[in-house]
Amino acid sequence: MFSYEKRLQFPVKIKNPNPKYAQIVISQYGGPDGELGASLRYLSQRFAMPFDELKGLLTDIGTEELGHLEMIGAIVYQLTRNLSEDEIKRAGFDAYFVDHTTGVYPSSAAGVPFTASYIQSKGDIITDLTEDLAAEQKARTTYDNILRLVDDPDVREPIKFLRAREIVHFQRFGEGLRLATDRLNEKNFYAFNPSFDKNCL
Amino acid sequence: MTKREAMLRNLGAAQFALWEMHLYLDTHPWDLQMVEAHNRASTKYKALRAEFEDKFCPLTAANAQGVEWLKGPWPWENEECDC
Repeated sequence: MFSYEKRLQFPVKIKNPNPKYAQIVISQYGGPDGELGASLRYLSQRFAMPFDELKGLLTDIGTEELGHLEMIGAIVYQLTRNLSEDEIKRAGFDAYFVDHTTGVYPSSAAGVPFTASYIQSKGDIITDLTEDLAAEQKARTTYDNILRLVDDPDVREPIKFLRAREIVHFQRFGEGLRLATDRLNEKNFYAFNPSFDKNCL
Repeated sequence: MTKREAMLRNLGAAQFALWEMHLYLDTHPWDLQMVEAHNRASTKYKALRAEFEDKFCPLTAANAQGVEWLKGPWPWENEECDC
């Protein structure tokens, strides 16, 4: 089960609303490499993980990603407070506004709604962990791109924190993959699928 | 920065250190030195948390109900707390 802790993993306190920035940052809420996909990916993949270290790692990182989803939601929420209709139009936020007002909706920066096709849960330990490594790097690039486009330090600080987390998770997933392959057939990692062929372990 | 914000920041920093060690120990469970550091960090975090919850408001549903739980600011709001 999950229980809620009433605080953010890293503080978000944005003084100046900016709907243009909100439209960029929302991609890490429900975009192709966002935090919603990250949490769903890891929390789904963990059921097929055959080793205790990996069950723990996927559970823990998946849980942390839910906290990141909350941080991104907080950034978008604070960037869209007290907007005038004129500000909405000038920033090009009108396309989002017409469908969601200033509600936080999981979509990409280009307005594409979240879809589970952003993630995979393949039931194969090497495949899933390799996807996870790529996912962390894709998210890191997205945060790098956000940092290229956003000047406000109130937004940059939490984004920099989240970017650093992608790098740490990448490191841990790399160690997880090595732990997994150490326990497989050393001449051929693909001789069997330890998530399915349990009798071969 | 208000007293509440400062304490929440300290609590967040303590929890972050603890969490980093926790993730590291997922892939290095045999590292006993880190297990010890984790235990020390855990003691520090629990003390800060108890202090915060005592002074301000409960952080989890298990420690709160009704008005006490519902009272803002919620984590995504950046309004000042009157508590």
